[in-house]
Amino acid sequence: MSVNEITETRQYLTFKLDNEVFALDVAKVREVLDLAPITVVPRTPDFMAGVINLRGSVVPVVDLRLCFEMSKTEKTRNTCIVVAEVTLENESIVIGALADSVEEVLELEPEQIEPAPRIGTQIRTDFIRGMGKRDAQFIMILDIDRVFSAEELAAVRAQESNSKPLVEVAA
Amino acid sequence: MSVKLSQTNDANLIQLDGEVDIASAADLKAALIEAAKDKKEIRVSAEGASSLDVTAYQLLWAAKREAKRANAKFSLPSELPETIRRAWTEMGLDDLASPA
Amino acid sequence: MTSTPVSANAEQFKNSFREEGREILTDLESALLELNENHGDSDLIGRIFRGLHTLKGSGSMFGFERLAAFTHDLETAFDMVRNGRLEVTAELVDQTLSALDQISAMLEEDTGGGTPADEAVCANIISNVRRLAGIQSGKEPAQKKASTPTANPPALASGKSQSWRIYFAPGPDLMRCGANPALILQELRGLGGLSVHAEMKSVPPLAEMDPERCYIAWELVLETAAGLDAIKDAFIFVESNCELAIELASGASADKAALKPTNKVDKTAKVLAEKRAQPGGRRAYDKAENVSSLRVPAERLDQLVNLVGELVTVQARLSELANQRDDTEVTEVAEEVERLTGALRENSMNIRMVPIRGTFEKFRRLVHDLSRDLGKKVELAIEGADTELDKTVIDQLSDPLMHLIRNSMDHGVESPETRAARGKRATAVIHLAARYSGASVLISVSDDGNGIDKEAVRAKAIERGLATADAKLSDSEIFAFIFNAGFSTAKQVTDVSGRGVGMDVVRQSIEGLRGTIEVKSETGAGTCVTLKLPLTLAIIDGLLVIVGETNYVLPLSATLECIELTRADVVANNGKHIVNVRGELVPYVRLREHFHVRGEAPAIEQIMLVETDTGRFGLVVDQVLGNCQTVIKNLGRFYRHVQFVSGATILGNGTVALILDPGRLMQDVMRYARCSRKIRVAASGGGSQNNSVVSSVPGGTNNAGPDAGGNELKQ
Repeated sequence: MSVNEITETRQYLTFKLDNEVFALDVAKVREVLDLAPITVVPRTPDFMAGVINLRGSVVPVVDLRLCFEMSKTEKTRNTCIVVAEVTLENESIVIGALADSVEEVLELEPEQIEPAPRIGTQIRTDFIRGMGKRDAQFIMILDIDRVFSAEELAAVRAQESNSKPLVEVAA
Repeated sequence: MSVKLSQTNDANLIQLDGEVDIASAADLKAALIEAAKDKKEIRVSAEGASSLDVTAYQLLWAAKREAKRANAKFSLPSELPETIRRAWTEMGLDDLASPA
Repeated sequence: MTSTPVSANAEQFKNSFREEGREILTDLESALLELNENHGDSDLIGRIFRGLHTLKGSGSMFGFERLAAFTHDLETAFDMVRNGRLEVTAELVDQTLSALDQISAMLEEDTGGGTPADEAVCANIISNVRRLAGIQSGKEPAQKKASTPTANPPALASGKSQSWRIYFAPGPDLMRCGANPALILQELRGLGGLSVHAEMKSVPPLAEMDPERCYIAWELVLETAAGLDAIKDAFIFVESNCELAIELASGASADKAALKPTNKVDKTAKVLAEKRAQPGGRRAYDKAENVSSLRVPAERLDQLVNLVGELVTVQARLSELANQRDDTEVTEVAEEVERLTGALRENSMNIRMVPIRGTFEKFRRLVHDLSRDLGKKVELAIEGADTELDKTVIDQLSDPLMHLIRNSMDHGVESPETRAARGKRATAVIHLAARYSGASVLISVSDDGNGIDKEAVRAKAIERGLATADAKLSDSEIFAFIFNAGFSTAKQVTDVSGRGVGMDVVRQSIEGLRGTIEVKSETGAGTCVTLKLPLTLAIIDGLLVIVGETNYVLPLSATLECIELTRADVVANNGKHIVNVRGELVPYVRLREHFHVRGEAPAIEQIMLVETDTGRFGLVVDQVLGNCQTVIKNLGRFYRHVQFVSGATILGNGTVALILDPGRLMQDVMRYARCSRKIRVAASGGGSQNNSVVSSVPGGTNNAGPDAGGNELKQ
């Protein structure tokens, strides 16, 4: 979905990664959790932070900062898990994303959203649905389905070429 | 299919239309019970009915039996549609229209 | 009771008919295929006729008019077969089988599943069946025939008319299921002269009546030359929902008076009278006899199992808390809850167990069709069809088994001529068998065909770079290649198989079910593929261990024993990761290393010995915490590629533990070792740095580097 398809006023949940502000359509967000113990699944890429117990279901958690070429999330008191419902290949799945802090729910008119810039961000432009503006600050509205389908692919590749991490070990 | 209950001075009228079957059985039962409350004559008209299945039949049959015990009058008009009459006969069911 | 409009229930009826229909179709299919072997079997013919009859009758009752109309001519044909007026031919069987496919399509039409029925194909089948049976195409549809019974009583096997006494009392749900006694009586009239007496005794006072129930019972005398089967057929849709007695009446004819037991008491009438006289006789029927089995939607069972799963988790937590409290009363309650939870778990799992028969029987059709298409003669032998497995497992078995059978038929089984030339029976046998083996079920597909051409597989493996030309490969290693994606040795791609898509799909599905595959094959004698599957997918008995900060569960069935590993042992072994277990040298893997766990290992670690398909080995963990019953949760698609973790479970304290698959873990370790070695060999030209991770790895590779050491895994 691109910015052109945003034709109505919607609510967005904003959160911070590093010092940048990101936003998710609240329709995609199921809940925000305080940081819970995460069980790391061994021999998986670092951005796959592990799994948590969400009221009896096992839900994967992703370190979004690592998806966006930032440094690994440092866990602080403000660290949260944003639980989102993501559609991958027509299958709806629940995924948690680590956020440094969650800010607010923001209402944005379509006019307040501009297309993603071609250059100038460190994030792949196809991950961004648009740039919202709050006061003087830009907010990157994420296309969470895109982000996770790309990450899923990355996870698969990492497993298929299991030699990758081994280079560090053996070479 | 419909079940209509109405009153005249001397009788409670139940008018049956269309296919009266299991789908309207509960309505018919309620109507019959309601009609029996004041011990007036119960008159069932079924000229507009295209069929009365066994659920309808057994309700009417039971209502007639009760009316008789209570010494109330219960009548089905003799001009019951021929298809209904024949269907009842084929199932070995008595003609409720006949005074008994 | 309130009135429920028929329309509200219509979809429910439709669904229940669909389920019934699917079962009937499966049964019809296997009956037809058996009939094909034995054209004269009257039991089979009767079974087929009744199946078609039910499909038609129930179909039109529940609004599947097209299906009912389509089935009508087939039913007529088999009625003729039943009455000896038509011969069973292979063509009739084939046409009927094709018709079943169309019926199946019509059945699923509203559900959005499957391909819709093909009008042209249907028309073609109908015209063929009519031609075979000599039915004129303009003939009146069944409904009409039934409503003018005297005009055209069906031709009957014997001309001799007999008098039958029938007692028919509808059950409480008969009307609600959409059945109508009037139609049944009408159908009986179609068989001959019928006298009818309606029994009103059971009709309760108006206020007490359930308006949707039929309280009237019928005593009937039917004068007919038709047999008992034909009479029973009239009651086919209501059999399970009524009280029914059919007896041959003494004397040639009966009049209406004979029906009244007071007039002429014969045996049947007496029995019937007694039945009626019993106080609450009908009621007893209501409660007791009709609850022998129950149809429950699968989702409801899944919900139940999920709830039981959560209960098991909570119970584990309760037990843990109770242990901490040291309060005997609480402990007692906790133990009681544990016992009950265990029993509940067992029970709910049992509900999900279904025999594999249905899945097996389905393949008769496949074998029949493929034999024809491939010009081969193949018989399907089924064994152990009553073996029960979790429904989830069964549902997912169908495709892999189909691939295996196709593969056997296409690649394994030779043409009749070749077989004859080799001195084999012209008809090959594919054996489909299931049996229990501990907590697993073994399902095997074996054929007496040509066997796997090991040299061809080997050559192909080398060509695809899966093995080196000089590698020494065991049979099982060679056979393992055929499960690689895109691996096919078929020189000619056929419709049936040979695209090389089948076998890796089989592997994936079976592994997805936590199962394993074993292949045995002897050149010229045949191939046997055995699938080993767990009885249930939902819960396993496990052993809880800890490595670093993470809890892991090992399936109890795979674990053997636990041995202490001290620092001194490690030193004494000179860095080699091998432990001596009563004289047997067993390699071990330190999970801390393999999983890249940071921090210091405890002074005494534990080696958990596990048994896998590739042999025994040890897994070094920090601590073994004890037995646990765990509910397996799926890790979801994000982690589906982490094959050595088969799932996760939630522990009593709310954290997630990962369930390890020892066999896969071993493969992962070996692959890791192979990659490391390759890279290292490339990087340092043979490499002298003895990396501890690498040397810890049991070998099992063909291109072992110079430093592979003496720790090859014995296979």
